[in-house]
Amino acid sequence: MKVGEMTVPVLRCSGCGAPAIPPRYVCGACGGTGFAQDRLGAQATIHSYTVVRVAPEAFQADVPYTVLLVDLAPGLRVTARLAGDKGGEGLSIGQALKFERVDDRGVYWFRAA
Amino acid sequence: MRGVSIIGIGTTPFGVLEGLGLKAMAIQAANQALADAGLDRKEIEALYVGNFISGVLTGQETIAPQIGDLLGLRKDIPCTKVEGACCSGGIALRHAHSLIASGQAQFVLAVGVEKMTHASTEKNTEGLATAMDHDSEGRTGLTFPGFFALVANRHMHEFGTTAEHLALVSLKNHDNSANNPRARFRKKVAIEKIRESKMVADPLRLYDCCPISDGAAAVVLCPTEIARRFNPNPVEIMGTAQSTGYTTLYDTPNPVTLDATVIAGKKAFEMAGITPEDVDVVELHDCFTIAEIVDSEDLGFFAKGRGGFAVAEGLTRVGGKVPINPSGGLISKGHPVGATGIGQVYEVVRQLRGTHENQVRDAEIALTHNLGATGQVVTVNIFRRAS
Repeated sequence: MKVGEMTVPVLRCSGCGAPAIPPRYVCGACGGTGFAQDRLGAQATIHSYTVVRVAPEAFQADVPYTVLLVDLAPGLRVTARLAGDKGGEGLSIGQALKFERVDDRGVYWFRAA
Repeated sequence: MRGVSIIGIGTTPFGVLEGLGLKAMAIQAANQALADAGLDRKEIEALYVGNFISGVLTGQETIAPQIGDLLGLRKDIPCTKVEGACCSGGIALRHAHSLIASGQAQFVLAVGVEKMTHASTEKNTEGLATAMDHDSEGRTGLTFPGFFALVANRHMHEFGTTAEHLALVSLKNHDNSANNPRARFRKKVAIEKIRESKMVADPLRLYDCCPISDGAAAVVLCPTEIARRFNPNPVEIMGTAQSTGYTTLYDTPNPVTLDATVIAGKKAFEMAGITPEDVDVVELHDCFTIAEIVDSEDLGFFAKGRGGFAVAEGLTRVGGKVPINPSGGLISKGHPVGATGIGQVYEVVRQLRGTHENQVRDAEIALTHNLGATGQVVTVNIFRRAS
C-alpha cells in the first residue's frame, strides 16, 4: 500500500483472500465462511449512475440524489451514494471517484475526484 | 414426466378496480378459468396463489387457504401461496405444472393476484421496495426505477442505446394496449408526451415505468393426454424453468445482462427442444422500458446491445420478426405484481387459440418471461398450441 493511495473497507475471505462487500456469508470465489475486516487499495470509477427523483418516504429529504455503481477492482463493485451531490450534474461513466466513508447504516459514499 | 396443458383461463381487467378486493378478484378470475375449462371445482386437487405484498398493502395474509375455501374447493387439497416479488405468478404456474407432470395431481388451479391502487404511492413504493436487499443495496436509497436506470445508463454507454429507443418501447406498448380490453391504459399516447414526461430516475421517465394496478388471473392445468376432453384448443407447456439471480446489482457480473433470464431462457428452450427463432409471440417482463430491451436480448431474440435498435426497426411489433408484448405489457396493460405472471399466460393462450385482439397470425409457439425484484428470480415458460 503506497502512502496516499485510497483504501476502502471490505471483508476479506479467510480461505482464499478474495475481497467482498459486506454483508457476505459465503465466499463467492471459494465457498469459505470465514471473513475478516480489511481495507482494499482501490481505484474507484463510475460503472453507472442515476439520479433518483421519486423516492420512498425514508429518502424524501434527499431528493434528488445520485446512486452510483462503482468499480473498485476487477470483479468487485459496490452500490453507493455521491457526497457533494449536485443532482448528478457533470457525472460520466468511467469518471474517477474518491472514497469518502461508510456511514453507520453501512452505506458507502464517494466523491467526484 | 408427463405433458401438462392449460384447459381454462380467466382474468379480471388490470387497472383501478374500485370496490373489488383481493379475494374477490382472485375468485372472479378463478371462476372464469373453471367455467372456461368446463371443470367441476371439486375436481381441483391443488391451488397455488402467486401474490407479493398482500400483507403490506391490504393487511391480509394466509390468502391461499382463504381463497380456496371461499372458492368452494375441496378441503382435502393443499392451498399454498408462493412469493417471488413480481415473479410470484410465474412461480405459481411452475408449481402447478410440477405437481401434474410428476403424477401427483390431475387438475391444478394457479391464480395470481394483487390489490394495489387503494394504497398511497408512498405505501406502494415502500411495499415494492421490500424486494430490495435491505442489508445492503436497499440502504442506499436505490429504488426499482433507480435500479433499472443504472442498467439503462450502462446499456446506453456500451451499445449506443438511446432515450428514443426507450420511448419507442413505451409507444409500442401503449399502441398495443389500446386494443386490449383487459389493459389499464386504453389510449394511444403521442411520442412527444412520452419524451417529455417527468423524470423518475435518469434516464427513466414516467412513461418508461409500469403503473401499479389491481388485477387477478387464473389458469386450470391438467395432463395433456386428457386435455381435449375439456377444451378443443388446449395449450401445452413445452418448456418451463425457474432460476435464481443476484441479490444486488453490484454482484451482477455484467449489469447490462440479468443472468437469471439467460439461465431460465436456456433451460426452457432446451426442455422445449426449440430455439428463439421458433417463437411466434412473446410476453416478457417490461417493468421498465429498458427491461424490455435487456430481456429481449437475454432471451436470445436479439444480440446483446441490439434490443433498442430492434424496437426502432419495428421488429417487436405485431407483424414484425418477434412480436413482443402485444397485450401492452406491464408498461401499459398494467402490473398488478403477483398477477402479472399468470396474466401473461392468459394473453398468450388467447394468442395460441387465435382469439387475441392483437392476434399474431398463425401463432403456434409462445413464450412468457416473468422477473422478480432485481432479477433475483425469473421464470420462463414456452407454450405450444395443440396440433
